[in-house]
Amino acid sequence: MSAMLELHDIQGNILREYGSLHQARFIFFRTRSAVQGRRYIEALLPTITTAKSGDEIRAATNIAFTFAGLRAFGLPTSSLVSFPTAFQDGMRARALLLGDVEESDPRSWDRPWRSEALHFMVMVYAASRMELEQTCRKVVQLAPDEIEELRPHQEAEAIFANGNRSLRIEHFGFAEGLSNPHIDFLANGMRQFRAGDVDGRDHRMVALGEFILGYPDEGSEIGAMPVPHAFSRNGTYLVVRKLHQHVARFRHFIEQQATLLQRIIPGTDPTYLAAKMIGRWPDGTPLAKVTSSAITGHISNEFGYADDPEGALCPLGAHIRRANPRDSFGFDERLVNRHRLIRRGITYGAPLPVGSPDDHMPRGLLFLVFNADIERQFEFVQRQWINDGDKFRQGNDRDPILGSHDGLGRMVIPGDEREGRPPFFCTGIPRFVTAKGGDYFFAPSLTGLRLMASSGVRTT
Amino acid sequence: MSNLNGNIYGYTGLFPIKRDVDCSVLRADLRSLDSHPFGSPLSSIDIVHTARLVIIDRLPFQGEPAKYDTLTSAYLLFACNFDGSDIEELVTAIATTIPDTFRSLWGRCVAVPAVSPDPAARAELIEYFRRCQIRTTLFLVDQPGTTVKQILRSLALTRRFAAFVEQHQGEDPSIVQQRFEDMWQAFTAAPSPSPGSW
Amino acid sequence: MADRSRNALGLGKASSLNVLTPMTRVATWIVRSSLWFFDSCKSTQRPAKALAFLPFVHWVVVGRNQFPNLDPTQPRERLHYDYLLFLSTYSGPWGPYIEAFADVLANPLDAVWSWNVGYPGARPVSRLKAYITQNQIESDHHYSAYAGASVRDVRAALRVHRELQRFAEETRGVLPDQFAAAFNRMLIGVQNDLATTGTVKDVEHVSSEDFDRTDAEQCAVSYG
Repeated sequence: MSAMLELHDIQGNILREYGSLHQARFIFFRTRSAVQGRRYIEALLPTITTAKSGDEIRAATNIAFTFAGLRAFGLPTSSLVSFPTAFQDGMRARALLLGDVEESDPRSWDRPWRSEALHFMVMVYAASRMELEQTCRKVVQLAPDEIEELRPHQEAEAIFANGNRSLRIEHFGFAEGLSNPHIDFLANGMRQFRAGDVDGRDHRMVALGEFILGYPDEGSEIGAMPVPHAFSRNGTYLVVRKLHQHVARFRHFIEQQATLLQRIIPGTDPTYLAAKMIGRWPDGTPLAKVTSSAITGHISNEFGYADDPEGALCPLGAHIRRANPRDSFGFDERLVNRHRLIRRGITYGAPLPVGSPDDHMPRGLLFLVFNADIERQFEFVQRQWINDGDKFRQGNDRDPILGSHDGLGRMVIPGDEREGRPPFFCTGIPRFVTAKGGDYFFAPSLTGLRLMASSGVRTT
Repeated sequence: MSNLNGNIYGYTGLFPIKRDVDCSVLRADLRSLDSHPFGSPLSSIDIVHTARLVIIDRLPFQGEPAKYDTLTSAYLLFACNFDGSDIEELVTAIATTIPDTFRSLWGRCVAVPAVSPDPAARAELIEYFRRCQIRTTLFLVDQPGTTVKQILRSLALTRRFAAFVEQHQGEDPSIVQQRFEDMWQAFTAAPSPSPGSW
Repeated sequence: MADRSRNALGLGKASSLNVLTPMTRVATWIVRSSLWFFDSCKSTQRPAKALAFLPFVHWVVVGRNQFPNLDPTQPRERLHYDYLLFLSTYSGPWGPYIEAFADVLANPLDAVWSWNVGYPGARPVSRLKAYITQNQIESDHHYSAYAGASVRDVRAALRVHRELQRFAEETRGVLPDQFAAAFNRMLIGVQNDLATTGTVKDVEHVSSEDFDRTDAEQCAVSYG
């Protein structure tokens, strides 16, 4: 079933990729006064980018609020209590659920995430450094006195493979941002809109209500919405996680393991091992389609795992197979489609040159995900697919890349009976990614923002 | 026979609780049982796969036009899946292995017999469990042909073998063969993990 | 939470689910027939097996006159309804478990529960969740002899045991090269059954008070 979509009312970074806007800055704010806060929103409203904007834009501005923020802006209690538990708790309070322990413990998070003082975040994207500065200057200038900027802001910038500006990569050297759900809706009467790269004709579309509040979801109903509905409709939840990537640790690990791997499976190399852990070759070609790095270049999202039940091509526990199992569970993907995420992550920090020792500089991924139900989507993926392996016959074993490992992580890289290739047991996997901050946000619609600005968020 | 599926018997019993008993105290006692290192005193009975104890002291009301049912007694629901073909095997095991636990939990139930090795008393106890049994209409089991001991042994072997492969992958075949023999001997001789320890 | 099995090492993988729902006399007869049908028609059990989260499931019909009455001093129950007692276990969070049933087993669910008073239908699932919440009874004690092993873990372990047993017998006294070839074949056969299992550290219950609020930028409107 398809839904009509009010693109002018939905914030742009939810449904648009902003593919040409390679630079970004995330500015964090706190308000000391509900009245001044509302004035600021009023002032920012004309600058907020909606989903109606096309590929021609050179800069974009979007905004999202924490639960503490909504309260500071004076939303009535009757509205606040209708927000879901996870959002009310905030990400910090749910650290144990998410595996944010030890190195990822919120007590070690970067500022301003550690302080829990964050009320709202303005996200600025631009095609160039100059346009980014111009836009950010305007954003900050518009802020009244009672609006406090929480330092430091977060810079982010896309990295590209060999200057190929159409292929973004992340710090471990792998293509990223390739897979986003193909959403079922009609824009102007035509199914022409994409929330990112197409996820393949073979896989049926995912209901809009999984990503925007107020529309039918995969359960064939309109999910619970905070009241008043006029405020929450066309809004959604944003999950932000600042994920520091231990690049030197990762490179060292795969090189060291590759020595043993090469003895067991001659002709392999560290890239082969990394690809098996991730599920794609560095350029994004999925292992499920292409088995050798010599013939990559088929960057595609049109694939599934039904022909690879034992993981001979793409290991059952590989990162992308866990993060999006596609047709692995049968049942026409019904067990997967309630747990899809719109990913809008962007890298931060300067890349570590290959061969360089660890420089202890900050670098990683600013992980941004939009979903209509934090618990059923983001948290479910994190708890049931990343930090647990039961659904993939991986038992307690966690995602090799993202999982919160204690240095004893393990993963079996299945062999192939036909090829006569033995399995490889990868052991001693350390933590490659550490959470350094994050929170749950609500990204209101333009209508919602106008209601906030005019103190119009009221329930009877 | 619907209470039996393969080698596994699924017992469900509703034991009326004496009307002068404070159920909140009994409930607190039940909830303290999982502080046992192996998760429950029932772990001493090696034929028990799973067990649950639930105090049922009220019935759910669906709202008008449904009618509101109330119970005149509270009941202790005991549901247990165990290796065997008859409740007698479970009751005998409870009476011989954990008589004190039984007395402390079931002691607050109506007409509960004494626990003693005397054959007449034993027969009375078995009869008590039969009288309180509710027959299962449908009982599904994922692995009906196996026992608690087999499952625990298999889990232990899986862990042992995984460690074996990690240690010896890539080594010379003759070494692997010898080490496998050693590993298999060690496994065969080792005791099974205790129920509740996994 | 007493529904979750556990031992000294940590939390088990399974939580118990107990649901008690009322039925009229006619409904009881239909439910018994539906359950009998599912018992004899094994193909209906295949989706449930594929979901792999049900080690043991009981459907128990408790007639209004079947509540055990052992003593003259114990008054008989006078009830308007018969009751269906559903006892199962599930792993992972409660919500997705119910959703999985509604997404994949909606028809068998409806076939059995339609005749229970107040049952709203398996879909849309939010009504089903409300119905189960209303009629669910938390266990006061839940024990598993292998709490750290899920249905898949048990299946995998049994398979490994079977294969290794056979392998050990068949390769006794063979030459190293023959052994190596047979070993690799056997290993590929069980490669996806060797994951880590066992109870996991307690990660479920945490309150925000667990964290020190030492940061100077203490949020003025913080709660907790």
